[in-house]
Amino acid sequence: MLHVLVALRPEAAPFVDAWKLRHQDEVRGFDLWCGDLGDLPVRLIRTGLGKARMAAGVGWLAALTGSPTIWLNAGIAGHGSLATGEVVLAHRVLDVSSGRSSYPPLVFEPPCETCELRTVDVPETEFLGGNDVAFDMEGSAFVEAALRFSTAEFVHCLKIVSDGPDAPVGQLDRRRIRRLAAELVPTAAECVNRLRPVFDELQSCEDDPPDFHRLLGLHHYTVNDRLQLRRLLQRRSALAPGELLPEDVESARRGKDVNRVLRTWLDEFVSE
Amino acid sequence: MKISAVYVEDEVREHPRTRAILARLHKIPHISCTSWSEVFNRRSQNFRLQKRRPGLILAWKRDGYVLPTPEGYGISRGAAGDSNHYFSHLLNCPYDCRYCFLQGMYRSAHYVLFVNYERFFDAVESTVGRTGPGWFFSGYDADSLALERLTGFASDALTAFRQIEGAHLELRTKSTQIGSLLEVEPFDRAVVAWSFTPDSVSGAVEHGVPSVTRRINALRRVAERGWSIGLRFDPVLACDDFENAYRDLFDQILDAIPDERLHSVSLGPFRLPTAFFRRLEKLHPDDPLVAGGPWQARDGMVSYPPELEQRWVGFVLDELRRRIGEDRLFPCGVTAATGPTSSPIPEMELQSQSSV
Repeated sequence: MLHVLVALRPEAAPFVDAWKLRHQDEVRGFDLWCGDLGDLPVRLIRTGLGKARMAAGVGWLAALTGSPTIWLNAGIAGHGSLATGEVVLAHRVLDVSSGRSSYPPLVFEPPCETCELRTVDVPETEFLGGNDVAFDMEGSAFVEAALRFSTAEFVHCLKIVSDGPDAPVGQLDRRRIRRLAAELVPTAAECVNRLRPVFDELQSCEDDPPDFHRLLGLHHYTVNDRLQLRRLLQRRSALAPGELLPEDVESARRGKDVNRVLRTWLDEFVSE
Repeated sequence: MKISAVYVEDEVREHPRTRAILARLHKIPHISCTSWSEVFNRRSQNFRLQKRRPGLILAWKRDGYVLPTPEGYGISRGAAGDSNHYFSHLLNCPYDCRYCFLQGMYRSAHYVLFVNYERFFDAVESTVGRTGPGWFFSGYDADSLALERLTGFASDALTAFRQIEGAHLELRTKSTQIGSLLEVEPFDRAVVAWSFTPDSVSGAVEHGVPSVTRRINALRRVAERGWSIGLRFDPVLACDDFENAYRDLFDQILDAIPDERLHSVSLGPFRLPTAFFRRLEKLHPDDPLVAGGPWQARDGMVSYPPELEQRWVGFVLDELRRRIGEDRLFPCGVTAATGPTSSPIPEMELQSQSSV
């Protein structure tokens, strides 16, 4: 699953067009579009401006799915030195009002420049703080909220420079934002593409092992027995991939007995 | 070695070592941070995924430069007294050994390099002044040589220890980065210790580690240069044809070292704190070593069942005793469960084996 969160409608529109996402009319709370990027399901929402709306959007979206997710905050940002239209991936996200920082681990080769992203409460016009800093109004809230639902390797902010000392924020209009966001879409897709092998590695660890749900359906399992069954079947996948389960598993009368038979079978398998 | 970015504590930005490392790693992002703990080991990080492309954090160590080793972990006998300490100028390791406790201890796979090496050396000197001669182990939380070309730590440590009477240094490694050892004159109070498991085990569980043959070639050259060599078989791991695998390994290694250059041999059973092992199971549920065991939790540690541990460690102890005698043999983490040995070393417990 890929979750993309943008603040403004003109930031959303190019993603919707490029990835052929469908608006979910029946949903209330946020504008939600769904579709696929290759074989990866995508949900995109427009949260509105500011940290509170962004944090609410993350929580709302997280409640829709329990599966591992790549989280991407895409949108425009100011920058003190880069030209408008430059795309940057945040390697540090600093919340200016609290002073707290997050450092999204760069487990993939970024397809663009990286820089510090500072999240401010009002649009930045001074661009103080060094040449290598971008400014937005949502990034820190996005990261802080998304880290409650995901490991940090899959939480990233991707921004396109929209304003700076020579391009005042007051000159931005919907059409210009939309045009900039359209330039962001290919880089966003490439980020996801490069994250994908890492993401698949995590999913392979979290997937339920073969026969898990089938065996759960046959007997009652306590929570603890259920965890043990999962681990035993994971061991079977690692040690004896493709091996048929022993017949005693099928004829066991209780979940505990299934686990006992599996444990004995695996221990014998190891000792051989 | 893929390093994704360099995180630089504001306090060390102008340190000469920082500047040298940043100049060397000029093609990757340099990211400022207030404290290394802002980046390292924060919640919601995945060690396995970060291991693909860890960052390097350059930081200032502020306390705890030299710490006593856990009871029973040491190679002190004779001139060096009974004092055993370790120090960690570096956290984490470029290798990815599936049995390593680091992956259970840390949420981050980033390397943390403390650039104020001199503080460690000062602490060594004051410790010797306080407790007398002793051993100081490098390589508890990292490999002592694997990042040497970047850090230059071993080179600086050798220079410093040479001047500190009574301070004995162990550099523990699985690396073949031996340039800094070949460039300088050896001295008696330093030992370079290589860790080994049999070839078949190493290939399966020590990811990214130079082959056994390459490590033996490296230690042969270092021994020929005149350095004392340590051998570490810790953990002893089960494998197919266990006895022949370990016999072959001992034959290969001991053939490469002139007897007078062999300083010490230590060994220990696989053991991890249970909480670390549970984390390992979550990170690598699909790994044959983790899944295979057969592991048993007892007294807060996960290890082989006592009867198997006794058989395997006992065999390795007997083989080593037969080849090198008692004096240079140091079992670590060998518990009562491992059974009686004729080793002069008392029964010992250790929190976990070294990372290397």
